[in-house]
Amino acid sequence: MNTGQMLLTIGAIFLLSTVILNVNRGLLTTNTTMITNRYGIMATSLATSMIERAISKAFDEKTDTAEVTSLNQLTLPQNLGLDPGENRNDPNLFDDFDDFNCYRTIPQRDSLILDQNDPSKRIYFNTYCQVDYVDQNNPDLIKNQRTWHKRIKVLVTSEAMEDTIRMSTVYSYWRFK
Amino acid sequence: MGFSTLIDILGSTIIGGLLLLILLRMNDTAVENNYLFSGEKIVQQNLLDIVRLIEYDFTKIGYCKDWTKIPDPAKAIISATDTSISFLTDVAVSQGNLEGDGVPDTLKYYLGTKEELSSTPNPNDRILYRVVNNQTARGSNLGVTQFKLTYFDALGDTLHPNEMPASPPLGICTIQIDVAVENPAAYGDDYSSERKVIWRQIRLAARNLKTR
Repeated sequence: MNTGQMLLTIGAIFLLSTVILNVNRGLLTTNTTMITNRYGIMATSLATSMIERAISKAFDEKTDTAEVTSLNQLTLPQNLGLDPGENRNDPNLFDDFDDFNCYRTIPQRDSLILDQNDPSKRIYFNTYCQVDYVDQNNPDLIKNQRTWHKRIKVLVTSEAMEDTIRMSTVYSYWRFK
Repeated sequence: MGFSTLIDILGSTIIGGLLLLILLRMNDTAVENNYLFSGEKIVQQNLLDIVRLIEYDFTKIGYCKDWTKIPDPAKAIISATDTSISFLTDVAVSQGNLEGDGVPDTLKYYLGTKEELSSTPNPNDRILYRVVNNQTARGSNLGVTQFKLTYFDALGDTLHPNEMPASPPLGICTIQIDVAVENPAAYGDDYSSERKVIWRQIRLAARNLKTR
């Protein structure tokens, strides 16, 4: 084999290697996207579940059993979170919307069993909730005083996910007269 | 033709064969992945379609355009089991009239049997039926392998269907919906747990379940 043939052979092998690497990279990227989507769907279900659970509660601790007519009767912004007798490990004890603020820094940890026959096959998710009073005309603006509107921001993370799922909703106080 | 020429031909044949094998293997992998990714995409789309419909319907439990027709929303859920639920609602008449016609409808969701879909390669898929009033049961095979309903009362305690009253009100305040979808005809007959997509929704079945 002379030098020209050697160079042609090396070039051919280089081209083939490049093609194989590119195809492999494409397959891995698509696979990663699919898995990310699958776990994203699960995380979204947890986030919407948390929001649904929150909006099923009373607007405020003070409105759970009675109605309020003044902002001064509502919970102070710095006191948003658990009330006496409530436990962050038992969400069934929560009675108002801002109780979910207890997951602001320490998340609620959920797991989903991937295989009913093998409970060890689980994926773990961390759900953070942040509840704040927000401005009526600009729900993205957090207010340091009491308003008739609270916003819950839910973040779901997992070691199996690259991105964080973020969802939020505004809950307002209303009553029938 | 000398001996070295024969060696050259033999060597070229072996190396060429190896290269051909590599290309064939790569092509096989690409085809397999194409089927897997397409199947996965379809499964995810099916799941989202099912969830979108379930969410829409469950949110409207106890709803009626004419609220006087369902005066006691606590009685909106007629019957409930682990895999089925029947409730009162006001089904949308058309795209232009989503509010309904003001006449309460009975909507029932239930899971069919595995035997109904014995013709599909997946041994676990079933049809999720959605029946409005007394219409013929309809459902398409979207690869549902699990449709599990868990009920909770006002205190958050689990309500087992066999502990519920025989007639409404059943005392249900919250429903946990577990839905799993698999590919009805997966590539290579791979129906392992890693291939299913799961949705879990804990939701207040409807605001209407609370007395207005």
